[in-house]
Amino acid sequence: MIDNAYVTIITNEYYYHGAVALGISLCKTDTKYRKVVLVSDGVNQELRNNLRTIWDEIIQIDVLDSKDIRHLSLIGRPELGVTFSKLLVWELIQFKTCVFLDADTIVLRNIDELFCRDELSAAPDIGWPDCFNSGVFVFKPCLETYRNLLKLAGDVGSFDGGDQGLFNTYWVNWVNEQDKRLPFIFNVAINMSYFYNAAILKFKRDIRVLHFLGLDKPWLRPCYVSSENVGKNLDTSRDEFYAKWWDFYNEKDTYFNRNEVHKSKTEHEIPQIKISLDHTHTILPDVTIEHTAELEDDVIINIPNDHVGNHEEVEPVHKIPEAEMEELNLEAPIIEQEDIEEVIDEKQWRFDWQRGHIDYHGRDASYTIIQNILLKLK
Amino acid sequence: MNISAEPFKTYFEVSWEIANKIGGIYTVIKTKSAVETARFSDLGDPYFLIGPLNRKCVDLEVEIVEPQFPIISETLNTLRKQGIVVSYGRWLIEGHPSVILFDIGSAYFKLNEWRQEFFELTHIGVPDSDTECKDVMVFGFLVAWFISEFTSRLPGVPTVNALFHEWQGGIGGLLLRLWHKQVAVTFHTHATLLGRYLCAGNVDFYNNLPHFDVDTEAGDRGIYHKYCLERACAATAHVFSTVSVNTGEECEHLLKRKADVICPNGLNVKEVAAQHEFQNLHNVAKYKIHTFVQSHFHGHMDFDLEDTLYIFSAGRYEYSNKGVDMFIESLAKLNHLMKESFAKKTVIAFLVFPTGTNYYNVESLRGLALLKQTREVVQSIQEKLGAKIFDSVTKGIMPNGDQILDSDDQIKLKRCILANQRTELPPIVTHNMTDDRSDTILNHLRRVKLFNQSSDKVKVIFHPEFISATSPLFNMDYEDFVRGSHLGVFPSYYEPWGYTPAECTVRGIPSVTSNVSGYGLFMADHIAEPENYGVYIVDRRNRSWWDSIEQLSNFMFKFTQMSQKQRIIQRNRCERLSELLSWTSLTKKYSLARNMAFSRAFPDIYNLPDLKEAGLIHRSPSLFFPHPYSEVGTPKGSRGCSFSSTDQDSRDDTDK
Repeated sequence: MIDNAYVTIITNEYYYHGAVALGISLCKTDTKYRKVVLVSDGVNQELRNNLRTIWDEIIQIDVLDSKDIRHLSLIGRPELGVTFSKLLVWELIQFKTCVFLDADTIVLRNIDELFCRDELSAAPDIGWPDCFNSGVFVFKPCLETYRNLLKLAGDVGSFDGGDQGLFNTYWVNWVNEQDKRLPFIFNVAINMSYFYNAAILKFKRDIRVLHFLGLDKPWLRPCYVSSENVGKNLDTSRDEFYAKWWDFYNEKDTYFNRNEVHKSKTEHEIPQIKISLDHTHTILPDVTIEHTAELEDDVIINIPNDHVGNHEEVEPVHKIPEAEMEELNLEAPIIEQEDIEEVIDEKQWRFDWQRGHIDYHGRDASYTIIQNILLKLK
Repeated sequence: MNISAEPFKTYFEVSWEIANKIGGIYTVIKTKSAVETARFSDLGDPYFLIGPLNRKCVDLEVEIVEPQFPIISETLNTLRKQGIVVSYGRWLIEGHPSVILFDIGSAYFKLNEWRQEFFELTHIGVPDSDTECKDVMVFGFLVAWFISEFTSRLPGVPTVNALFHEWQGGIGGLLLRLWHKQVAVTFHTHATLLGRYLCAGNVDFYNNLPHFDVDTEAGDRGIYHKYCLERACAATAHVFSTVSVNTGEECEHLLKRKADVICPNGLNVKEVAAQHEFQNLHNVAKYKIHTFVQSHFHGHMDFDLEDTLYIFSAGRYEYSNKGVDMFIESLAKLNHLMKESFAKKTVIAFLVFPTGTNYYNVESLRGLALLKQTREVVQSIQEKLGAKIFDSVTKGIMPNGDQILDSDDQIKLKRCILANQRTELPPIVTHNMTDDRSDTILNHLRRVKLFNQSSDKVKVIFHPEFISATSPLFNMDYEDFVRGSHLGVFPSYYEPWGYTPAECTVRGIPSVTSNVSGYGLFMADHIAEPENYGVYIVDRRNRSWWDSIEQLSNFMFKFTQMSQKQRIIQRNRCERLSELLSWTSLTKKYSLARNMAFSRAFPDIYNLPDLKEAGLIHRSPSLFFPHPYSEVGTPKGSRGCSFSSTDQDSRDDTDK
């Protein structure tokens, strides 16, 4: 069913882990629809390759930055850049209906039935149930809507500074349309100060989608390694949900490895294509030719073969015999050059620090750190 | 005026607590900059304080103005163009120093980029879960960015000097060094992170200092990244300074760098007009405390207020670091000593350590109400009495007791006496504690059975809130409370400096400190016989726990045996020490540190500061307090032998 797709978006590496877990959880529901992830420049090639083993399509987006904002007469409000990235999903006009899922959600049971819903269907926000939460919603890609949303953002703005405020301004009538109000089980927000424990216990088995709101993202809490390990010591349902997330996330290596071979094929099937954005003019009528050229340079979109007429390969794919490839993949997934490996290593190293995994008895001993710093002073 | 044309030096001072009240450093900088601003403006050198923008504090304490120097405006505008919110103004404290305040939130969009850059430079990462550290990182980058922008606009020889307080402010300095900017960097620490943690862990900290495995200790406590940051700041600065000799020792072993300069904390000493004015102030404040005691002990006022000594301890609620454990234990011992010796005096010990409470307890408020009522009754009778006596005398009749105090009044007074009676003991705490059962201080008081029984010579009152003029119980601010007390007791185990005893000293109130507190060591270094000057120093380093308690209770016991005259003499001497603790003399250490930084950063341009002065960095020779000339500061029996060995020569030397 190529008409419909699940869509998520990650604008930095921070949410990469979220997209991994979400993707795996979607795979487990045996959905018949495509899974599409929009990624921005902030996500490097290696991570994209990993995502490709789980998601059907990776689409490169440009985080709408000051350049575009200038077009939209929004000078002085750079913070809206990230908000606009979410609007880009309306550009996915190759699909008829889509379900958007935030990268900090996971799907516990099949939710394909959502595709029967109309735009814009969403579940209420737990802080203000007369507004919907924009973590999970059903929409129909349409350039007209995209343009209207951009215009609204420029003219009126968002009342909370984020996408949710903007959407709730645009679909202000949502609260009165019963058929667009998704049951709460499709977007169960947890990790808030308010937690209706008794209800959670009663309806736990019905939950379809969990949404980890707030700053306390599951990938920042590695203590819940898996529900099996800590199952007996779980105090609250909240811990159980975090553990659930880790259960999905921990399966990532299986996907990364199992799909290696498949991946190399996929890369042929879905080569990175640079297409000219013919519809740019329709989206942004004010854009001058000059700027369009800039945009063309920046926008790379991955589209399956059969959807593209003329294409050229941007990144040459290394042709390695499959047997050899598998071997290589065990250690360094794609790249052979040593210096690049180091960069990746350093990245991993930095992530370890950020996650609080510090090897202070070895690699990260303070003496070494200080000596290195002192060397740099000379 | 464009300062780039002038050969002036520019001084920056960076701290997380500038116009942002969090802890003690706020007070240090606030009091210090009053003196420093005056000095720098005399020299004509621009001097700026840099801190984070805390809206609440800024509204109250900062007047936003346009920068005096165009070069500052230009630099600020460069940052503003990139979306950074930054305020410039004058801090409305004494001296009105210029402040530059960065809005951390406005630069958060750069956090990830900066975090990555920082990791590439140092291989120290910032965990996602540590919000404080992320804020500090953003602040550090903003400061370094600003100072390097500023420096790049100055032609000619390098003239920029920056002093960074604590690791929360220090990242900026570290970056300036790593970016190889032409700035002389001083890092000043007020304590070490790890030291605070280790001390609270009940280890024999000072005697084990060289043996700690710092990486493991910091790593296991989850503060490894902060520890690395602090250590990197210390390692890279041109000059590293700290507040006291013992913190210097702590830094040498925990941060692996010896302090170049010791810059003790000072106070702004107010010159009291008349010489003995502070003695009068003591009396006035003492009567206020009397009032509180009368209400708190209503129904149990079986002791004479004129023979009562007020001893107190105050500070952050850090049970063992602040030596509260030792204080309580020694009070129990003092109680015993006083009972044994049938002492006439009574000691009331106040413990002022703020913690979680649910308002005042009923007993305290009831006492307050009763006292007020009694006072009203007595006043009304007093007025009537006066009229009657006058009437009687004008008639030429000698007033007779029974006639004057009629039965009506007698009944009223009897009612008051009855109302004031109570069988239960006066409470040992003034508030309802949030966690009464597991409160460490309360439990310790219970364990040593200090319950304010009438047989107890030592009564205790735990006040788990700051003393302020708005509190109905004391109705006075902390400064007056200190003035009205007789002795402050601060036998801290971890105290890099120790403002609380210093505050006593400048008000002429004797205090007990310890030889592991910065203040205690500083005083011991400057005074021949500290005890005679009202500075008692408990040995917490070379003595066992119980020996230290013995020493402390003896100090207090000796103090209770002093006569009023002796106490007045001691207070006079104590007040003379203020000179030692005044910023006017102590900011010179900061100047030394700054000049040293210049000479180390740019040896070709700047000379090392006067070596003679640098060699004597631990003691200013002009200030040394010899054996006092007047005799009998303390009673005969209390003349310990520990200080008798002060040799005559050194006394003569310093006395010319």
